[in-house]
Order: sequence, then structure tokens, then C-alpha cells
Amino acid sequence: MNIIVFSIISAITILSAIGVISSQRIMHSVLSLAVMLLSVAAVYAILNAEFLAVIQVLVYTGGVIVLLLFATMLTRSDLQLKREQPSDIKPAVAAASIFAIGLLFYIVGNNWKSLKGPAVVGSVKNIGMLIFNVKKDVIPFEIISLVLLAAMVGAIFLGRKEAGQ
Amino acid sequence: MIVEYAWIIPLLPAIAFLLIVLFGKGRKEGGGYIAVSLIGTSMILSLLTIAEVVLTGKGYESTGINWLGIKGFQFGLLVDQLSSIMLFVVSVIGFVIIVYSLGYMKGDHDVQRYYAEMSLFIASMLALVISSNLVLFFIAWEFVGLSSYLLIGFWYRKPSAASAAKKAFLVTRVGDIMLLAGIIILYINLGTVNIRELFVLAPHANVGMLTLATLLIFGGAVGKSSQFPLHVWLPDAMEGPTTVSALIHAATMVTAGIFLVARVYPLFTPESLMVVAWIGGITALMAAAMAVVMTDIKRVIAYSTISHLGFMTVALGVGGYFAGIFHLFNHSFFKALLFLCAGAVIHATHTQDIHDMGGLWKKMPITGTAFFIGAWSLSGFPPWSGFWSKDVILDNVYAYNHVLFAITAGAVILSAVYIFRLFIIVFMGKEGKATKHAHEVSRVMTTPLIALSIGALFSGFLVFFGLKSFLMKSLPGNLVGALDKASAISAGTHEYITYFSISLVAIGIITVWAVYSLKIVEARSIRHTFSPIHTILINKFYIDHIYLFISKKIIWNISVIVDYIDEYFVDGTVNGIGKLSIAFGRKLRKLQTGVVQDYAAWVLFGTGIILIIFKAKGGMI
Amino acid sequence: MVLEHFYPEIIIAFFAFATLFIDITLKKDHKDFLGYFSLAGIALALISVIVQSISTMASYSAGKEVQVVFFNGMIYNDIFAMFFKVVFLVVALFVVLASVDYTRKDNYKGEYYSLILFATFGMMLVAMAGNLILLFVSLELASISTYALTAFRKNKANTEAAMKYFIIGALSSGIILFGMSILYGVTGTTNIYEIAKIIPHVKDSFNSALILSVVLLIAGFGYKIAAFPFHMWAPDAYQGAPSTISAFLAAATKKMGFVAIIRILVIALPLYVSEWGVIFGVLGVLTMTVGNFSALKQTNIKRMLAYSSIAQAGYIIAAIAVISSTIPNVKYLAVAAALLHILTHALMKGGAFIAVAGVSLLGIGTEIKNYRGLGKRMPVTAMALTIFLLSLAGIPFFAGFISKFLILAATVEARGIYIWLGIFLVINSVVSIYYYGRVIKYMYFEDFQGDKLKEPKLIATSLVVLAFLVVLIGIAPQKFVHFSMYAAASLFSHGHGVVMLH
Repeated sequence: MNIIVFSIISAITILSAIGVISSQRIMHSVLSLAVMLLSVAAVYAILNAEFLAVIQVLVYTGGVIVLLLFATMLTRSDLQLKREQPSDIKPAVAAASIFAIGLLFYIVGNNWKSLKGPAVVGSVKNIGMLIFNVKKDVIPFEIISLVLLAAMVGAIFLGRKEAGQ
Repeated sequence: MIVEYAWIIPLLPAIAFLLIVLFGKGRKEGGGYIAVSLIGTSMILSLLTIAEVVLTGKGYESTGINWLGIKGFQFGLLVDQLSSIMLFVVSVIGFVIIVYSLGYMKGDHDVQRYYAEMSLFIASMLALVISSNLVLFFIAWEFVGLSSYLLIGFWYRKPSAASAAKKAFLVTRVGDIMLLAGIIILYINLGTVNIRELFVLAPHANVGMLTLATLLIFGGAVGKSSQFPLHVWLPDAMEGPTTVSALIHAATMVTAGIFLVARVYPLFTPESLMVVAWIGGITALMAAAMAVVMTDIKRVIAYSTISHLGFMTVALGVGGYFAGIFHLFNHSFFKALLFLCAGAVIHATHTQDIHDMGGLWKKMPITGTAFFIGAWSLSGFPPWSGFWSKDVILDNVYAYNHVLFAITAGAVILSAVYIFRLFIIVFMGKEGKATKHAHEVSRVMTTPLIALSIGALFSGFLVFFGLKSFLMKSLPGNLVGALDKASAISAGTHEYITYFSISLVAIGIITVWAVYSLKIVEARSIRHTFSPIHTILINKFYIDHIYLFISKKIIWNISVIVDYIDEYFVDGTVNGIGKLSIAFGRKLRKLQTGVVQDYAAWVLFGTGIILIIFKAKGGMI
Repeated sequence: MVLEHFYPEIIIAFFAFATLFIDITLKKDHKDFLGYFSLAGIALALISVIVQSISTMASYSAGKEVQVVFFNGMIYNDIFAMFFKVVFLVVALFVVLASVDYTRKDNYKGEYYSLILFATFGMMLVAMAGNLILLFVSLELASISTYALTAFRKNKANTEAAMKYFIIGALSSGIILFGMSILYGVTGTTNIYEIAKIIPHVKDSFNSALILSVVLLIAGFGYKIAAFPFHMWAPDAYQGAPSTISAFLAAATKKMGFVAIIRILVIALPLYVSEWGVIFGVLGVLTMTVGNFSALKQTNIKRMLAYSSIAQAGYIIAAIAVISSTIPNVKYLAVAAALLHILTHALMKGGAFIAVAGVSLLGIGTEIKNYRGLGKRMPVTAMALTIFLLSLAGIPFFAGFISKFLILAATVEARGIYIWLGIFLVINSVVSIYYYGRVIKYMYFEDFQGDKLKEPKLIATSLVVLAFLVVLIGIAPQKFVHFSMYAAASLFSHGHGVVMLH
């Protein structure tokens, strides 16, 4: 049962990801991205990581996609604008396929079933215990705030308008 | 006592180098006096050091500093009998030539660079001589090569000088890599690079490995000492200032290869020594033959240097440890002298073509006399220094192999021929067109000539003052006996060889005198006026003709072939490798398209390929 | 008290924030103060790291136990980490010093310096991270800051370079994360030292998954260290970035990849040593060869230096491959050699790029032919650049020789097939002399009529100090070798308080 659901969701994820990079219109790309992010949230839900699934929906679909849609609609007067196709995608396809084949070789043949995941995952309490505990992951968590700060400074830095422009 | 401070000896010229680089500009003679004073001090110190080694009869090895802070690479000094002889040669001749340079290089607009590079050379050469392990030796060896490269290309604006420097650098590099490989093989198998420790371990080591390692080390010597087939760079190296030719390409650097072979002599096996001997013999004969036909005064002496390095090599190869080093010692004096005389001649006449010279003795009596002394000594005619060492070499070669003896004897005749041919054409006879305005060079240049003349005359007599037993102390005891036994020949034969060699030289000198000196007389007047003597003259002409035939046709053709091999094979290989690298570089550059998607594809492709290759090998790795 | 072990990090983080705040209060003409301010912070941190490492080494040689593991295995502040922190801080110090001159006419200095400090902070954390999550997060901190710095001037070259650097960086981060997640999935922990303990139990059922994670980690970090075939972004990024940032990228950011990969592979995956040994051996040879041969034909000095740094990374990768040797104690020598080369390369490559920054500041282009006659026009810069290039070429009595020699010694000690690594190293060094020598030839042996220029003071100062360090390591390397040997020993002591020096 689980495996069937998982396969369907994975198929949707992959197809919508391909849609993001191959659709001719920007709008379609953004919508495909939304579908892809939602299906990833569904994968989290299957894995009992409900909290993560909720966050995924809230942050990505609720925040990022909406932002993208606004940005697209406000800046582009011509929504029909066609994207430029890269002249030759064959090498990229070949490289990606070789990479995928390489991965497949190694992913099969492991005794994945013997893995026992943590008994309870994804609950808000557990995550809280994890990231606010000095003996657990509080340091990386705090560093993430620095990463965000640096990213913000960098974004302002890059988004500036020079006097002449 | 003093010997413990031997590390100061190379340090002083190194300090001179730094001082001249930093403060030489604008100073008188570009800092030449800094070089003279520091190198002079270094010479005095090395003379004291040598005196101590002679008096105590013991070599000295310092415990060594652990330069890198890890085990196995103790960098120390080794001042034994062998290194004292070499130390004497390098410091004395280095000092004499630096003094001579004050006159010779006067007025060159780049003297600062000249003195800096010369000081660097002397510092690294001195360090090479007294290093106790092969790694320090190799580093100094590379610095010697670097400064030689810089000095050959000293007049780098002249295209021929720049290309000669490049050629020297590339050709000696072949040898250097072999030397490095040899050192690494020794280190892997014996676990040390310390020379004396290697001597202790060598008798128990695998003979095949030792043969390979010593052959590779000899490869380094072949490059540095300009032996066949890597001899091609030395004649071109004459593009540098003549003082450089005298110091580096006659007296010291080119003998570093001989010194290297002597330094690790106990490691050589009979098989590798055989290669050494034959390479030396071939080089000696071939170079001497080429020296006969050259018309550039410096090139004649350059080929002569190659030939004499061949004598040293053949001597070492046949087991004549003492003979080789003894000849090195004598050769450095008379060859430096000859080069400095050539330098004085060039300084006075502004040409290097010997046919523009002639009759210079009257104009330049001191230089002429000094050249005559050098030529006499080089030819091996008694009683001056070249005779004594050549005599021992021929003895040793005779005991080893008679064919090799014939080859060496041939080279001895040719030595006498080319050097007196040079002397007669340049200093005797009628005035050439460049001779008119020539005059004797200044005191600062003639004094070194006189000093070196004394060395060239008398250095050979050291053989009567226990030089041999002194030198043999630097070898392990058991080896000395074996060498003596192998090279021993009966007393009667020894005398016979001595007479034979004297007559060889005499034949050479008489031939050249007859051909060159008398031919000029004939050409001017006798041929047309005195017909009775004509037949004799024709006879002379006949000899001349044979000689010309030999030189012009056979030797010339051989030289052409040799030159062809030089140009297309040796140079071609070197250039080919260069071209191939650059073409390969260009191909690689094309991969770099500048399109970021391609780079990303390469990342995925690379990862995928690594994964697939691993899987294909079935995880067996 | 735990905090006293982290003074350097606290200082850097504090100065990073403070720079941002002070920036707001300063008038436009006084912004150069920010440079001096962050310089002071870096200098303080550097001093405290050096004091820390000297005292730690002293306690080790006295046989005393030192606390290394903090926060339940999150942070390992061993000498290995300190060694890298010294490298990062030294580079940051000179980059900031040179930047004061280099950015004198630019705006947005507050952001510039604080991003350098953030990046330095991130790199220091990478050096200490004992946990995959912390390692990844600090890696991203350092990377994001440098992406932004690469686009500092926002001209076409800068932006394009930053874009390429960022896209390939994001791809590689994905690959690294994939590798890490497999490790976590299989072992159930993110602590590098715990992983090492669990792997023997799960090796049989997850052999191919673990090999996959080894390969993915190498590929992902291979981008950071610019190993072939993950190196292609590097020349474009180094060429397009402002020269001071090129110095920072080549000398510091690149080294961050090495510390991460060495710690993960050596500590967590020693069971797969033969696998990653082979990969590193092959990649090392390919990287040094491709780097050197590509450098031969370059006409732009920044691009040439970029390829040269790829080649030098190849030497370090070769040294890491030697860790897989089974001969006792060779792995210590191999790690020490790699570390020393990381240090010396940081000094000489950082110095070379700073010299290029100084030259381009005076309006001389970055094509090699523009360097004609530089020996007369900018004597200090040209002399320093000559020293860096000679050192990069591995000429004795310069730092690069010592570290290359140690790598060679390690390959020779390891015997067998490892000697081939040494042979390739020697051949490559010979090839490299050509392109380094060409620049020197242009600077000193080509005639050029031009005025003597006024060299920027702070850049000249940093060049002189760096050149002095390069010569110092070349002449008296014992202390530095000692430091790297201790760092290697502390890496293999797996966080124990006592270190034996081999």
C-alpha cells in the first residue's frame, strides 16, 4: 500500500520538477514548482514527519511560491514571454543520466529494510528538544541564524543600486 | 677546530649575494668589491680548513641540523680529503676569477647582476662540495644549475645567449631528474641519504639496485659534466662572459659531475663503472676531434674541456679514483688559465675568430706566455701538471682495457694538436687584422693570469707530496686495496707507457707545428721562390692535406652527423615534449567553455563516472 | 569554563556584528575605519589562537590532558582545528589589510568587511566541527558570504563570476548533503566520531550505500577544493572576482574543503580507506596534471594563478591519498605534509593574488604581458610576487619547497604504488617552472619604458610580511613542521586529551 502511494507521489514530484525546467511559460514553471513542493510535503507526511510536512507547506507553498507569483506578475508585463531554450541540452541529459545510473547501482543492493528509524519523529516537542538542547543541536541551530544574517547582508549588498545605475 | 666552522664558507658568498642584490646598485663596480672581500674571506677560511684536514689527517662530519624537523633528513657537512681538494679548487679559482672580473666586466651596464649571480654560484658550489647527504647535495646542485643558467644568459638581449641558456638548462635537467631518481632509489632501499651511512650499507645491498641507482646518479653527472650524449650544451654555453666560462664551464661546475661520481664512488658496481669508463672514453676522443676543427677561440677550449672531463670520467670508470681527481685538480688550473687568457685576447681584439688573430705574443707578452704555459700543461708534455695526471690515467686505462687505452691515447694526441694549433694561430705568425690595435690588458687581469700560471705549472708536483695517500683516506679501507690491486701493472710497463705518452704528445706537437707554423712560411714566400725545398713543402702540404682531409671530410662529416643528432634528436625531443605539453594545454583550455551549465554537467558526469567505474570493478578495491 | 576555549570565535563573531553596527554610524568618508577595525578583530583572534595552540602543544609535550571535545561531541577543538584556524585567520588578516587600499574608492565597505568576518567565522567552525550538521551549516555560512563577496563591485565580470560560483556551489552542496544524509540514514547519528563506531556494525548490509556516500562527499567537497573534474568554476570565479577576494577564495575558502574532507574521511570512514585512497590518488594526479598543463597557455595572470592553485590542490590531494598507506606512521607524515602545504600555499597564493590586486589598483591590467618591466616600476610588489612564484614553483629555501618536499617524502616513505604520486609530483613541478618563470621574465627581463609608480602602502606592507613568512618557512621550517606534525597527531588521536608525537 505504502509503496504504491510513495511511487505515485514520487512520479508526480519528478514530473513536476521536469515541468519546472521545461515549460515554455514562466507562469507554468512557477505552478509546477508549487506542485513539486507540495508533493515533497506529501513524502514527509508518509514518513511520519507531520511537522516537517506542515512547515513545508507553510513556508514553501505559502510563502515562497506566493512571493514568486507576485514577483512574476508585478515585474513581467508580458506573461506569455517564452524562455530561451539552451541550444544543446544533450550533454546535460547525458551527464545527468550517467549520474542517475551511478546512483542506482549503489542504492539497490542494500538491506534498507533492516533500518529502524527513530520511534517517534517529527513531533513539535521532539524537534524542540533537539534544537534547544545544549547536548544536542543548539549550536548548528544558532549558526543558522548567522547564515540567514549573512544571506540577508549579502542580498542587500547585491540588490543595491549603484549611484550611476 | 676550524673545520667545525666550515658552514661559514658557503655562507659568506651567500651573504655577498644578498648584499649585492639589496645594496649593489649605484655602488662602484656594482658591488664587485663586496664580492671580492667576502669571497676572499671565505677562501682564507677554506684554506685554513683544508690545512687542518691535511695536518690532522682526519675528515670531519658535523652531526647535522634537522632542517625539516623530521627524522631521516639530517642536513650536515662532510669535510673529508676529497671535499678539501674540491674546496681548494672552488674557493681559490673562484676568488682569482672574481678579481679578474673587476677588470674584465668593467663598463658593462649590468655588473651588479653579474656579481650577484657569481656570488650565488660560488655559494652553492661550496655548499655542494661540503654537504654530507645527497638531498642537500641535490639542492645545491640545482642552485648551481640555476646560477649557471642565469650566467650563460647574462647577455640575455642577445638571442643566441638566451637560447644557449635555455639549452643548458633543459639538457642538464635531463641529468638532474635521473640524479633525483637515483637518490630516491637509494633512499627507498637503504633508508638514508647520508653519504657515509650509504658507504656502510652499500656492501650488503642488492647489486642490481646499486647498479641502477649509480647509473642514474652517473646520468646526473653526464648532464652536469657535459659527457656524451648530453655534452651539447657546453659549447653553446660560451655565450656567457668569458669569466663565467672559466669559472663555471671549465674549473668548477662541470667538474661537479666528476666530483659526484667520486663522492659516491664506493656505491658503484663493476657494471656501472664499465658504463662510466666507456662514456668517458668516447667523450674524450669525440670532443678532442671536434676541438681540432673549431675556429672560435672559446669553442676550441670548450671542446677541450669536454674532452678532459672525458679523461676524468674514464679514469674513474677504470678504477683510477686518484687519477680522475688528480686530473680534475690540475685541469681546473690550466683550463681556467686558458679561458682567462682567451678572455684577455677577446678583450684586446674584440673578436673570437682565431683567423682574425695572429702574432699576438709580441703585443701581449704576459697573456701569451701564460697561454703557452697553459697549453703546455694541457698537452701533457712533461714536466708540468697535465703530464702527471694524464700519465696516471693512461696507466690505469691500460690495466683495464686495451681498446679503451687506444681511444684515450688518440684523445691525448688530439689534445696536443688542437691546443698548439690554437696557440700558433693566435699568438705566432703574422699579425691578423684584429691584432693591430691590441695591447696588453690591465694589471688586475694579468695578476690572476700569473697566479693561475703558477698553479698550472706546479700543481702536478703534489703527487710527490703524498696527494694520493691523502685522497685515498676518503674511501673505505677495503676499497682502497681493491682499487690498487686492479690498477697495478708491472713497473716496466709503467715506464713504457710513460715514454709512449710523451711520444704521443710530441708527435702531436710536431705535427701541428709543421702544419700550421711552417705552412704559413711556405704560403708567403718559399713556395714561389725556393723551388728546391718545394718537394719537402709539398710533402708537408701532403701531411696537411691528409690532416685537412681527416678533419674536413671525415671528422667534419662525423661532426655534421653528431650535430644533426644534436639538433634533431636531442633538441627535437626536448622541443617536442614542450610542444606536446602546450598542445595538451590548449586542448584542456577548450574544455573550459565558460558556460556554467557545462560545468554542472561535468560535476555530475565526474561523479557518475567514479561511481560506475567502482561498480564495474565489483567493489574489489 | 567552556567559553575560554572559544575566544577566537567569539572575537570574530563579535567584530562581524560590530562592523555592521558601526557602519551605520559612520560618515561616508570615514568608512576605511571599518577595515582597520576588522583588522584589529582578526589580529586579536589570531593571537589568541596562536596562544591557545602553543599552550595546548606545551601541555601535550608535558603529558597533560587537554579538553578537546565540547558540547557533547559537537565541537572538536584539537590542534588540527587550530592549525586550520591559523591558516584562515592569517589569510583573512592580509586580505583585510590589502582591502583597505584596494576598496578605498568603493562603497558598501561595512558589508564587505562583515561578510569577510562571517566567512572566516564559518570556516573556523568547519575546522572544529565534529558533527555533520554543524559542518554543513558552517560550510554554508562561509559559502554564502563568499558568493556575495565575489560580486562585490557588481560589474559584469564580478556578477558572472559570482553566478557561476554560486550555481556550482549550490549543486555541490546538494551532493554533499546527499552523501551526509546517507551516512546519517545508515548509522543513525550525525556525530562524526560516533559514525566511526557504528560503521563496522552496518558495513555488511550497507556496503554499497556507504561507498556511494564516500564518492558523493568527495565529489561535493571536490568542488570546494577545485579537484578535477569539479574544478571548472574556479578559473572563472577567481578571474572575475575582485583580486582580494580571489586571494581569499584561493587561500582560505578552498582550504575549508580540505579540513572537512580530511576529518570526515579519516575519522568517520577509515574502513573505506582503500576506496577513498584510490579515488584521491587518481584525482590528485589528474588534478595536478590538468591544472599545470592548463596554466601553461594562460595569458591572464589571475587565470594562471587559478590553474596553479588547482595544480597545487592536486599535490595536497595526492598527500591525502598517501594516508591510505598501510605502513605504520606514514599517515602521520602524509597528513602533516598536506597540512603544511595547505599553510604554505595559503601564504604564497594569497600573497600572489594580493600582489595582483596591488598592480591592478594602479591601472595595470591583469594580462601577463602588462607585467612587462614591473620590476622597475613597482620594485616591492614585483620582488614579493617573484618570491611567491618561486615558492609556488618549489624552489629550495622558499616555503613551497619544504611542503612539497614533505609530500614527496611521504609518497616515498609509503613505498609501492604511492611512489608514482611522487613521480607525477616531480614532473608536474618541473612543468610548472615554465609558467611561473614566464611572469618573472616579463617583470625583470623585458624592456619597458614607464614611470616608477607609487605602490599602495598597505598592500606593499602585507606583501612584505607574507614574503618574509614564505622565506622564513623556507629557511627555518622546524617550528612549522612541528606544528603540522602535532596537528596530524591530534587528528588521529580521535579527540583524546593526550597526543603522542610520532
